[in-house]
Formats: sequence, structure tokens, C-alpha cells
Amino acid sequence: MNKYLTIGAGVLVLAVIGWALFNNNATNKVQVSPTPSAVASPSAQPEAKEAKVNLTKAGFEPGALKIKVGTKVTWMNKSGATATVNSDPHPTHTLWPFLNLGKFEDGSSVSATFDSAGTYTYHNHLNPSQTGTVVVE
Amino acid sequence: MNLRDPRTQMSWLLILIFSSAVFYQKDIFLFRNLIIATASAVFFDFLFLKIRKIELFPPAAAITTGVILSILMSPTLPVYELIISAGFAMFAKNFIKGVNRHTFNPAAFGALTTSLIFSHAVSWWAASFQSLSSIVFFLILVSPLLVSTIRLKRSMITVPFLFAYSLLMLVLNKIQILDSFFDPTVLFFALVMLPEPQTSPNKKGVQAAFGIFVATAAIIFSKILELDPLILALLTGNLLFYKVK
Repeated sequence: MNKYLTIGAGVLVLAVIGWALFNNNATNKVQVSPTPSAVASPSAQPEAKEAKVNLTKAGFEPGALKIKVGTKVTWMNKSGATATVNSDPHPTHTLWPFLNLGKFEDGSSVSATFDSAGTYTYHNHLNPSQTGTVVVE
Repeated sequence: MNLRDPRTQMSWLLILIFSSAVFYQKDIFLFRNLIIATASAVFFDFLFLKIRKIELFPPAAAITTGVILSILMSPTLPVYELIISAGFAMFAKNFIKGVNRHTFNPAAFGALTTSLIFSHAVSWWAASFQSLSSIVFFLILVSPLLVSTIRLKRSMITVPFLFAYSLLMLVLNKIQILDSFFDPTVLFFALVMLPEPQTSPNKKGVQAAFGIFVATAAIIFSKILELDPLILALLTGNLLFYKVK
């Protein structure tokens, strides 16, 4: 019984890996600039819209942001500590990989452009109680 | 309480982890949440034991659950959510059970239930910053392995889980193996919550299957649901492996 359960679990793992390898994992278009300074999106329209979110000790401000499709959002770290912007859920960060912008130090920023409508939730991996939402219309 | 009791030892190590998080956040008032969560868990455990007409005993398990909840639940949440999560945790411990033991990890049940009711994510705030580069914090975070993995001989759950999780994160999400393996939240989950003795299997082969199952389920859930994947996977594993002890 124990042997069969172990084999079954192993088969399940292999099945998931096989499923992943034979599937295109479609995500939002990635327009990520994870370097400390703000970088323009490569596909920015001449009149690309922009929005800003500040990360302070209290969290992301504004916590909920409403923007239009094609808007570039820049997160500025003013928290006094290293932080990250990562897709929910914690800790796998798998729902919206383009929002996994990595670490950014205090005083620096990271950016991402939202090319599809929807509601996107994210958090600071180093302090997951700091969360934010971007609603794209 | 008996200091040789693994539950007592685990409680103290968890309090140490919480304390290190308070030090990191530089906010001593966070201890308020530890006190509230622990006291609430003890209160509800005693209440439910009375309802079940069972003689009260030292609440080592309730204290452990309370401390875990204070580590998981965001310190910015209203106090009543912390209290309610402790209530749900002790409800699961006392009433969702078979003949001799409860089905679900109490802290996981309490945290997930409350997150569903109040629409907030499980935070893991006190088990998220302890990277290898902060070696003291890291060592404090992994100290529970002395109890769960070594003393209680649960390594056949923890190790297969960590390897399966890290491998799947690499294959499916292109996350480096070491980043996943040493993720503070994942380590805390693997060393504290996953191998909880009452709700995890005892037989070695089944333990490995349990660990691998929870890892796989967590990855799948993270792709399709907005609920906490680790907690949900653990509760699913608790349910499916309940009969296979």
C-alpha cells in the first residue's frame, strides 16, 4: 500500500511536468523593467499612460489602482528597506508572472506595463502583508 | 509545561521566530498579536473541551497553533479576525476528527477559513524575510527542524516535499531550485506545518507520498486559484491521507 502510494505520487508529479511541457503557459505580455531605475517599456505607445505606486512602511500607496490598458505602472520604494513586487499568490507568485519584478532597494523603482484588462493582485515578498491591486480597464 | 514535550519545544522555537520578526519589523507592539492569538486559541480549546465534556489538559497544542496563527496572519488585520481564526482552528481540532485524531492541521484550517470569510490572503509575514543572506534570522527560522525533522522523525515528509516543490517550480515556473528550496515561507511550511504529527502519516513510504502530493497540489492550486496554495494543498493532503496513517 505504501509503495503504491509513493509510485502514485511520483506518477502525479511526472504527469504535471508532462502537462507543462506540452502546454504553452500563456501569460500577460511581459513589459518588465526590474532594474533599479525606471525603464521605458519597449512597446510603449507614443502617448503611453503612466501611473505611480509608492511603497512606504505602511504598504503600497495607493493600495488599489485603476488604470487603462497599456498603462505603465512604476513602483517607487520609499519604505527604508529592500522590497519586491511579486504576483500573488505568495510564495509561488504564479498567477501573473509578468508582475514578478524582483527586489528593488530603497530609493529605486521597478515598472511593468499592463497590456490586458483584468484585476491583478501583488505583494511584497519580503513582507507579504503589504499587498496591492491593479484594476485594468 | 514539560520542556521535554516536543510540542512545548516547538512552541518556544515558534515564539523565537515570531520575536525575530518583531525585531526585523522594529515594532514591539506586534507582540500584542502573539498574545491575542495564543490566548484565543487556549480559550477556544478549553471551551470546546468543556462542550465535549472532556477533562482539561495543558494546552500545548493550542499554544502552538496560536503562535503559528500569529506568524501567518497579517499584523495589519483587525484583532477580531485573529480571534476568529483561533476559534476556527480549535473547532477543527476538536470537532472535525475521526476516532482518535483530528483531520486537518488546525492552524492551516483557521488561517484559510478566515481568509475566505474576510477576503484576505494568508500573509506569512513573520516567515518571509529570512533569506540565507540574513544568516541569524535564517537559522532561527529553520530551528524547528530540530523538533519536527529530527526528534519527531518527519524528514521523509519534509525532504521529498522540498525537492518536489523546488523541481516543479523550476520546470513549470522557471524559478531557480535554490530560490524555491530556501524560500523562507516554504521552509517554514515544510518544517512546521506540513509534518504536524497528528495530521501527517507515520509510515515512511506514505510520508514521502504525502510530501510529494502536497508539493504538487500546491503548484497546481497556485496556477488555478487565488487561495493560498500551500495551506490549501496541506488541507487537501490532510483529508486524502487521513485514512492512510
